[in-house]
Amino acid sequence: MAEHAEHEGHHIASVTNYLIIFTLLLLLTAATVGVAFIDLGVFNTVMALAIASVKAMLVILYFMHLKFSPSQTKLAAAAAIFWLMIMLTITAFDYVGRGWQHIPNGW
Amino acid sequence: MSTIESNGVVAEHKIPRSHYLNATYTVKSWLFTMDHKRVGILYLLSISFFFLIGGTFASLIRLELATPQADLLEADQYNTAFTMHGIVMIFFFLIPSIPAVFGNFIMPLMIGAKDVAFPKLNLASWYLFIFGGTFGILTTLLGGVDTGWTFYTPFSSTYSNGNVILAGMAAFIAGFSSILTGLNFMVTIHKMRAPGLTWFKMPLFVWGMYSTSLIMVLGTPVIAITLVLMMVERGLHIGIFDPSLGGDPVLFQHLFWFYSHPAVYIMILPGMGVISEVIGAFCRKRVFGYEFIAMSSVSIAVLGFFVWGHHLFVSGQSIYAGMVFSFITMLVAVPSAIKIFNWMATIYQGSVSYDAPMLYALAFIGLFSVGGLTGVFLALMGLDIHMHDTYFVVAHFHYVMVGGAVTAFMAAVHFWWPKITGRMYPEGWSRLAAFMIFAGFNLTFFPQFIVGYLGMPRRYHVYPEEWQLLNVMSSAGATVLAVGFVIPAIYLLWSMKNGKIAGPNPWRAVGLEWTLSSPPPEHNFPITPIVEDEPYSYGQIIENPVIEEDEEVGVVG
Amino acid sequence: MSVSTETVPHDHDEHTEHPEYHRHHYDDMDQQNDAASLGMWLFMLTEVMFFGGFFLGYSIYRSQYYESFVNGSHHLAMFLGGFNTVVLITSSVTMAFAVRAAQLGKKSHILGFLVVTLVLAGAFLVVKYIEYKDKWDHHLIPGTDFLWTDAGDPLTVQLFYGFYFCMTGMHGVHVIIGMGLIIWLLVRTAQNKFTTEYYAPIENFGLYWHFVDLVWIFLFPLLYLIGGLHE
Repeated sequence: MAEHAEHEGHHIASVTNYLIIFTLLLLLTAATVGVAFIDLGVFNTVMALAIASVKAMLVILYFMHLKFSPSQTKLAAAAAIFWLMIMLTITAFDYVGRGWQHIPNGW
Repeated sequence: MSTIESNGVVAEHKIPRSHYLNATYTVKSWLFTMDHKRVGILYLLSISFFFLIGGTFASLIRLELATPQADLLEADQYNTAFTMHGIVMIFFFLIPSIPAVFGNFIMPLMIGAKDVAFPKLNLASWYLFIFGGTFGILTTLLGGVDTGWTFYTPFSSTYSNGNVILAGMAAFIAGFSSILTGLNFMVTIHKMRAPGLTWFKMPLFVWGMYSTSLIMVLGTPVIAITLVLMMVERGLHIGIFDPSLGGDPVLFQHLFWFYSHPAVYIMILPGMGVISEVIGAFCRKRVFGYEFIAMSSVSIAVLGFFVWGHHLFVSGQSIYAGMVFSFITMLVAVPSAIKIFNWMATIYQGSVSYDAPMLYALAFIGLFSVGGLTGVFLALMGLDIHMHDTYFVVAHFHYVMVGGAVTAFMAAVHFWWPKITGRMYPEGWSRLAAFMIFAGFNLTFFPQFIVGYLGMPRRYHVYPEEWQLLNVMSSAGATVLAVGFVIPAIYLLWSMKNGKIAGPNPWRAVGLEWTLSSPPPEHNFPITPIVEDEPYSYGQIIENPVIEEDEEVGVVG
Repeated sequence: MSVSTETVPHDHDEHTEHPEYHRHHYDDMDQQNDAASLGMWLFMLTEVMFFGGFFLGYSIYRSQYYESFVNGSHHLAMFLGGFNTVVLITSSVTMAFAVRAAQLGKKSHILGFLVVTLVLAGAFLVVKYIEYKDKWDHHLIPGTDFLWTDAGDPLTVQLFYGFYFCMTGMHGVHVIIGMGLIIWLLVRTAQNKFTTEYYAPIENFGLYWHFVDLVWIFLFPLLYLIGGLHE
């Protein structure tokens, strides 16, 4: 039969593991609120996204069991992020590039 | 066509006693079916209906354009005509067409599966399609929408007087049908292949369906959210693209084309898969460069997501982004070209027979080449500035969408009709129709390249008198084309009761679907096949004929 | 293509025992569970691209009108947003525990954790209602005599609020759908439909619920925490 990788769901996480991740998520939430009060200029946005990404990875890897899933599933998750990045990055390139253009004044 | 047994006796084929069509007869058994084959038939009926509606709008357009003045339609009405033509043809015919009909019917048979991965979801996809279609019909009955199928803001979100939200809902709901179909197919292909059927033993049609499904799953959600944003702006007056608030209408175009460009690959990739199957069967030869064709399908699906900005060259998009999009657009032509060369290499020194499916396949090769190459012209920013929004673009995309996708759809219908219905259609009429469609198509759209290059804008119901001859040629061609499409409708329906009985494998083709009876049994394979051969093993069959007593086996050489 | 004489037997005449949850078109439960899981992950993929459109628009306008976004964000209740973040994260944990209970076949635990998840989801929506009502009272809903009197350009602040309502609104719709699905799971669990062999719907719904949490994990800092301290 088609593709018979290791089976997700046969790995049963421990209670402790979940509680540790939960605690980390709460701490990171507090961190992101705390950092927002410090003026870091443009790095505020960077930090916010970075912390959110770490929280997201914790949820994806442990709560969604991606860490213990077949590589096919990991590929699907990676594809999602990759495609989102294509859309965001290339569109952003348009807007950034508009600033580089010299628009002549009138005809 | 009958099977010739080894003793020279011509055997008579019979329709099998029990198959998927006669297993149950009630309306309920059809409307609640979970059989992928029946879902395919439901889609075939639905999209044929929408093709008729889209074609009617096309007739209105070509009738109006036969004269330079506005005599049939006012400006607003004309805008509605081309908008509805685009919406119906793209969202309700082309995008479902080959995937929803043949992907559903044939693909699971090709991989030796009993059904798709999620049969109930499959039926739900069809119901969503019908639900979306209802919105489309409602839009039409209430006066249509006049924004162009591209729904550009702020006209669509603020200034249009048409039924924008209804039309947006139609496309939005149809989009979900598409997403669920694509998801279903991806899981089916990953998880339900018969034992021994590795990825590189799959028929190329399955590769085409997989690549198409990738695009459906990754791209369609973006048009969904785009339509939501546009409808929210229109309905709730929440500014998103509104320039008076500092919003950017070009942002809508980015979001719209991020899906709609890959969408054109949704329309063409299944067609290319069909052409591979038909050429293999009617040249009785392994498709040349199988691996390259397979990988080119995936490349087109992936690369197709990097080129959407070529629709925005003159919109105010930055030139630097334009350069990047221009370059990648030229690259994406390469995998398509690889396919064309490989198909030609397959035909070379093949044992070619010119039945209707093959005629359509040959037409596809020529017409898609023209369409694809003119696409490369448009990919060049300098040329696009001159030709954007002219009939050159209209001709380009009709060459690929009608000359390509619709032609491939006709090839698929004619190739698998015997499998689906158990009957053959009349050969002579099918060839005549193929020629009429080819001739009518070229007469309709080739003049549009010329008149577009000369500067005739698209989406206008009037034009300078000097272009009337070319427009009349185009409208005449459209009439021939219309008749060309009506003829198969007639003989195909006729054949269901009166056509010669086809038997399991009238084309003597290679593939799991041809090992089943025509029509196939309700549950597909009584015993799950184990695949050992390479795909398209035509050579082997002629060398080693297998004759089974008392059994209809399609592999007799 | 030749068909081998060896076959994988699934003759309908000798109908070996099939639990009700084993669908006919699958050879075995492993294949069925794999397919269901892949299907749900692919659906997550589509949701990422769906919300991605919002994030695209948001990021473009935030970079162009940063000050307006800062000003607009100041009127959002950071405490309520933070509270909701904690609520959703907790509901994710309880959902994970519900799935774990399903793996271990503990029906009463499944029911308990699902109920807690449901309650937390409800709490999230109550807070959202409070926030939306506050916006309504202060004329901050675009399209309904939007009135901005604080610092910042009213036009582009309106853009910020447009995105605020669209993104949290769409997210809220997903929470509501999630609550409906939890109720469905509660009913089926109570009817003893799930076993240690078959709990895929709970597991796959769990994936959906975690996704809802994930979207909020990004929405919270991006909408509520721009420019820090409120004046």
